[in-house]
Amino acid sequence: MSSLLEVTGLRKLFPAGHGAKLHAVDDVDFDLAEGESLGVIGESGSGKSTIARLIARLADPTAGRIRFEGRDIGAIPSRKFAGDVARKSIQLVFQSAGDSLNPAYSAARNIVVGFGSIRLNSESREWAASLAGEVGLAPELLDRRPHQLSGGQQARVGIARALACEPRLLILDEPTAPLDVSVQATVLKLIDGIRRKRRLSLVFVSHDLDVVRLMCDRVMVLYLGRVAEIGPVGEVLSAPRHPYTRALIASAPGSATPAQLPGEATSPIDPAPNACLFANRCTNAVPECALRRPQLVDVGSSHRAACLRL
Amino acid sequence: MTAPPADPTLISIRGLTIRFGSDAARPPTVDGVDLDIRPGEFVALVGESGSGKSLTAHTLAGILDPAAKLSAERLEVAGIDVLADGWDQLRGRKVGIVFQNSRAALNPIRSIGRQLADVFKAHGTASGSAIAPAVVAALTDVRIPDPKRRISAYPGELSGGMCQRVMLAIALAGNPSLLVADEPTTGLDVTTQSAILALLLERARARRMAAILITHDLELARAYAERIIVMQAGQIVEDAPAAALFANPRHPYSALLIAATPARARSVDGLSGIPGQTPDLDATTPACRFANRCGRAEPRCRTEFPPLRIEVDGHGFHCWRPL
Repeated sequence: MSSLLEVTGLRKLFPAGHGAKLHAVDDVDFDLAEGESLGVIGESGSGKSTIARLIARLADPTAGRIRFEGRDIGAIPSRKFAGDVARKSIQLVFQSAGDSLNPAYSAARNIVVGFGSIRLNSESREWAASLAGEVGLAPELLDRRPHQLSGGQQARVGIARALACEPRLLILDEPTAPLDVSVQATVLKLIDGIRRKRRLSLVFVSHDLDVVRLMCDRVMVLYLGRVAEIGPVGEVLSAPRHPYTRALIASAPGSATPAQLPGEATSPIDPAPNACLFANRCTNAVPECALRRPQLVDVGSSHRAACLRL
Repeated sequence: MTAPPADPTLISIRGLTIRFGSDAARPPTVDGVDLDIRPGEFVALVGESGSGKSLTAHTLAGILDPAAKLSAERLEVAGIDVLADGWDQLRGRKVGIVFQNSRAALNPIRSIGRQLADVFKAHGTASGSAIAPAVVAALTDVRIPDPKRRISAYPGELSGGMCQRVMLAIALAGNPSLLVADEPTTGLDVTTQSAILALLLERARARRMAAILITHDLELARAYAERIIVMQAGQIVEDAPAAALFANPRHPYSALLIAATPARARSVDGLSGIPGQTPDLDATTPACRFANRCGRAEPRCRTEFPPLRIEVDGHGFHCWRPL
């Protein structure tokens, strides 16, 4: 499989006042093959949504390269990216579908707007109807405004809008977070079916390990903007190598070995460059962890972890 | 344990019905809920949006929306007959509550130490020079590190997990016999979530306090509660020990909810959604409000709500055609 997306040395710093910088994404590398689904998991502040916005080119990286279909699209300023050929190929599905739809537009118009068509004519209407069919949205709902739709129906409109552009890469930022579990199940099945049928690549941002286990081929675990571990989803979840991944798994309700992570995350504002940022909460830490930044090393076939004590 | 109290129920509710609006033809939002909870029990009330779980819990805490019209045959909480005596003796004293977004529930311009002191004063559980040590003890109790320093912190300076700990300290300050936790960890990270729930469970046990966890997350309920009550569209459909509910769900809705939980599925194909959605309540709403979504429904389900059936001790359900 060839790489559709290659991210190297990705970094995003936000100004945090008085010259300080918040390190949201700090030297992240990963790639994504055609038709592959990568889960991005981590807690709030881990940088997972920032990564989604950077590769969707809604924000500009401070450093690093984002190669998509062989072109470095990271170098194109985000405000110019709307006119780029790659714009339609990379689409984002937002967490809160209701807020991401235009409240004044009908569902049909919200869908075709993704394709750049603002007005509805018979052709674009037909197009909207066929997309609605693909996402399981009843045709009679196409004339409704977003507020007249349920959360699950709004999510379907958001997915149809993204599909209207015939994307090759779909970035989903917690697409089912606000949904009830019964609706979440149908939306997850829908996304998985569309991905297989259209051979889409997915970047699936989530905080739910079980959702990632079901939806993704590989998973990238982030901690404070850095990759702690990345690898095949089954292997990472059944045999995690990084202590943070282990802590995440142990924290999930119903874990066979429940355990709690002590303390709180260190500040992401100008963190120590030469230290493991997880060391203060790690039960396995040694003094060296505060002095040296661990690099990702191979721990299995395409399975890598960044820990000095592997 | 000490000798059992004369009355073994902490909460006894019969026929709790909550309506909104003046249209008498519109079915009630909460429809005839019966509920008994014993002292010290840790119960989860589980349901999707619109299930009435929060309304039921808010009733217990005495913070029901003033627009809601409540009726019941019996509504006794912690020895108080609410229908006769009202909520005043209940709120904060007999029942503590922890909300979903604790940072929004705290006063943003008052330090957490002062907010806790206010609560001790209001309840009369500490006064004068005893207040300051009581505040430190309360913060220590909920495992806030370095409590003496944190007393002067404002909610905005604390993480979501820390705010939830402060909220719990406030809820416990009145020495309640029941703690209502309404989605206490929604919006928190999974590592914080497990720490908060473990703390809540431990504090409840240490004080022999009953707790009701309101959640939409069945997996969370299973991990922390002894007993799970499943609500759907304003009706209780099943009430069982947590393990029994998962091993042997009797109501079709409970079984479907379990099958929709990602943690329970081996693959995405093994995940199943529930057809349809929580019904809009109108004159056509069937007696069992799940009937329109239920593959097992028969004509009787639409006309007559099934009575409580108990075939195994402690495991009750409302269904004419149980699994």
